[in-house]
Amino acid sequence: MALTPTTNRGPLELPSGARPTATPLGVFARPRASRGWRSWVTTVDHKKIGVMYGVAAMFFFIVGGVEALLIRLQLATPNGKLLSADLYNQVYTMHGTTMVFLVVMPIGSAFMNYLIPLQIGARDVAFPRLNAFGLWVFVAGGVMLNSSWLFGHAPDGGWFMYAPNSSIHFSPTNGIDFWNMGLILTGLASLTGAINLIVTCLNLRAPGMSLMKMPVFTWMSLVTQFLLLFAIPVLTSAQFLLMFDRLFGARFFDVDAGADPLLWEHLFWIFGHPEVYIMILPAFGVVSEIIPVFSRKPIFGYPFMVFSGIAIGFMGWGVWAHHMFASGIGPLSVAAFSVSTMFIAVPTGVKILNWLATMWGGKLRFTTPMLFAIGLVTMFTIGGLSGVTHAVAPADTQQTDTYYIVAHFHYVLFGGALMGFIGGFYFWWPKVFGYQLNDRIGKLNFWVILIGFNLTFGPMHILGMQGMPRRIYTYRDGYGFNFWNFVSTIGAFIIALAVVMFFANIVVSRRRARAAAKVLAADPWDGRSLEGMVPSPTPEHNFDEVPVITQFDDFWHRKYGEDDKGRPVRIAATADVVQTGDATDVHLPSPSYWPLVLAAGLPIVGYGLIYNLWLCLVGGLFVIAAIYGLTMEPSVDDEAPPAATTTGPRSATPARATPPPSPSGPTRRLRSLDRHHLHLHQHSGRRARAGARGDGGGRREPRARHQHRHLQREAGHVGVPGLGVPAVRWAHLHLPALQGEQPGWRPAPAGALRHPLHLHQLVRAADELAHHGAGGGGHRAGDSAKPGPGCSPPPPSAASSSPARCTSSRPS
Amino acid sequence: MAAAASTVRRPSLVGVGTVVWLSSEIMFFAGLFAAYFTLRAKDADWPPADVELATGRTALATAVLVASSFTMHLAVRAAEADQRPRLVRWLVVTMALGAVFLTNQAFEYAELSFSISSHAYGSMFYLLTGFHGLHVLGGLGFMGAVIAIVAGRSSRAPAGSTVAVCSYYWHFVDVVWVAMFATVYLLR
Repeated sequence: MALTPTTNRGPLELPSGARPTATPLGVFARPRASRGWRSWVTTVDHKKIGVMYGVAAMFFFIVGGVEALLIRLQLATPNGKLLSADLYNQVYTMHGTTMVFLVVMPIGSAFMNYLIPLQIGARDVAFPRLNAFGLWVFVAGGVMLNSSWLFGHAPDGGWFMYAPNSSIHFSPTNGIDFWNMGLILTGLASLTGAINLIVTCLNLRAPGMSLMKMPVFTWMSLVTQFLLLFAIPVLTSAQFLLMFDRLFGARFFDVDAGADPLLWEHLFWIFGHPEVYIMILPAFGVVSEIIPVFSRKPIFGYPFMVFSGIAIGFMGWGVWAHHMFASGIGPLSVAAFSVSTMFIAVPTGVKILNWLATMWGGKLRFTTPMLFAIGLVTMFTIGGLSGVTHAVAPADTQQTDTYYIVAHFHYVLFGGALMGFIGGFYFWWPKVFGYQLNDRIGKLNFWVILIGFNLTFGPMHILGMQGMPRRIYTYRDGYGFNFWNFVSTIGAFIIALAVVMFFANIVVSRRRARAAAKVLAADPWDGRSLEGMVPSPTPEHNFDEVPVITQFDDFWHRKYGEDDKGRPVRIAATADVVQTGDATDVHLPSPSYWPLVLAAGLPIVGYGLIYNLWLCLVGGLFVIAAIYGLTMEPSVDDEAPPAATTTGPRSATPARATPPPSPSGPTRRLRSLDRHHLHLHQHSGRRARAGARGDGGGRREPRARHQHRHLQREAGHVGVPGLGVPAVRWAHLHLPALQGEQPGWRPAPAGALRHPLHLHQLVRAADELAHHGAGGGGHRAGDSAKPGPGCSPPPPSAASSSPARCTSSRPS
Repeated sequence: MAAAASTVRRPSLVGVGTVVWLSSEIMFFAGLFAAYFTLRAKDADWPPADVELATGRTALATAVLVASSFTMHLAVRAAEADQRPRLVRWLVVTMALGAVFLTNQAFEYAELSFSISSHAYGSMFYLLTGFHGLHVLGGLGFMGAVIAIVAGRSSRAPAGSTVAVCSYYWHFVDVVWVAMFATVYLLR
């Protein structure tokens, strides 16, 4: 059995004698760094990418926050002199754009990237390199947008950039072009993220996890991703119209040439209203995870939570014109959109009531995340109610473009989305970083933020009712605006203080955790969803063993049963249920430079469109080279050292044998390919492995374990989702196994292998070996049908659960 | 082996991902169509007097593009049967038909009397057809890459799912064009 060929003429030998190469485009060697900045910029790990989304978003949060403080300083007193009218226009435009596109959306992306695979029991997202590309193109877009400050003039048309006000006649600087390019890039990021996460949710769920067993956060994220998928292209098409108007002499928004000034408003708000839900639904998902945990009750009305989210997703498309009541769209349209706007409050109200009902009669623990979650429920309700007042068109025509609007959307976006996200930070911080944020500082942080928030935005309701218009750089003394504006400015600085407190809490908690060197439990909050099952911080491979799901809140039900009165009773110690972070024989997609190169090429194209079309050529070459590199690069680096044990750093690690000296050349490649290929398709893999056992070699021990796990899986008759591998490679590597035997598809004879670049030949050969291995293998499925020693027998009260559940601890 | 597989059959990731992506592309073109109809509704003079489109010739080009969908399907059939020469042949035919379509579009652009700056109609016309043309061009590149990398002689991997994904894209581009032709040329 020749996984280790003893002769030099193995099936992989090329007629030319050349060795097959795995790096077709030899510009870059495959990145190998597992720590340090290189490991971050080349990573395709959804967790690192999620963290980087969060870091980038917090950076832009500070940028946008400074802009907010400038606005509040300017408006603190009448006749403010801090900003000129022109600069004020730029500052509020950039504040809005930054907070929407570079803060709230990417924080949502951070949570979704990190949590969705963990909550559905996957090892990574469907397309890991596409995920990395999404991150970098988001960063590129944010940098490009903000670089407009350095190139002389920031965009100044407000975040919704009404055309023709944003046309070249009224805004002759390049600012709005930067806005266009930057947001087309961040839109691309959202789009790739949406495709990726939708496919992840649809294809990579753990065995047994049907859609209606997914956690609410994942559900809300899925709805969000569908909204992004359909909304972002509409914005992009509108931006292309504006871009062609401004740069290439098109006349979409030139009324003299037969254009319609409402065109932009329609297109923008068809994007813009779903966008509102894109920002809030992930936060709804976050609190839907937090509240049940700290109420020690399952979420009330799970199907209602899910379907109200879906209903919001649908209805969000039918309310856009309520942003345009004052623009003369006609009484019929106004009436229709008034009604639909009132309707959309219903599913949102369902959510609010369900959260309250979840808390009702629960055993509440007012930890910091819980406080923030309750903060969202209350503050969002206020914002939602003021939103319903906009549905009343006669009132809305009075409120339009006053501070009342500003108050409303800050209550939903800050009091809603951000409040939920900060709660989410506190809630999942241990899972991500391995230490808890200080709860006492956190609670103080909550109260400071709550007070500051209400002081800032509460008075804006009054100012708006008094008729203070938004987006005007100053106001005169004697209008009655002085007092509440001053209060609002004080509130803004209290929020700034709270943000500083949050960062200080990170520093303090981190230092204390390092000093204490305490092992953090996998499940610090006694949680309910699957991410509690992996160690904190999450190991690189997520799950040692993909859990088999039997019900909603499966992780909770592994820990708790119910007594006669329906009260939760512990049936298993958490330590017995969680995994240890043993990465044996887990193969993850390898890091890559190409996503970064691809993302770096796109802003060059953007600058080229603004300044000099020749630059587009340079950027285009980057893009083409990167696409070629991405396509040709195998998703798994054959020659990478075997995955290090990424056990949580403080938990006990079984001593491991040193890896055997690596064989060289085709053997090594074949072996690693074999591992990769077969790992993804355990049925053919098991036999090959069984065959491979005979020939000894240093990997015998881990292989045996690995195999044992596969056999356990088979006992439950469930499939295991494969890792995502990008496009062309996926087709090459995996199709045969996915589709079983393809008619007319034969293994290639060894002599036919000509081209040095084609990895799939190796796969072919590996597959062939698998077949042969099946014949001569010494290990059969029945050999280890009984559970391994690491599995505790299922507790009696959980008798209904699958026999394959005993996947948690393993012998050391 | 396949008989022993109790694995849950899941559709391929790339296939699902492509369908999801194309649904998003629909919304991109929907935005452009919405712009077209919004402008058309507001403008009494639509299309303006100087607009004379070569409807007959473009109808022919449309027929060519629609035919290319069928040849694409033959390529998919060939890929499923793993008949590589046939696969490459049909892909080349499809590319040729797509190239004919693009050539017609280039001729039309060259002889039209209005430009993107003439009026809102001109802007809309060039943007709609231009973005579609870019999609066709991208499709030609896609097919070329499939031939070179996946279906070529030096490769022995099954080309099925890659060609399938390519065909999804190509059918999408065709269907969008049929809608666009009906809107811009027939409905006007």
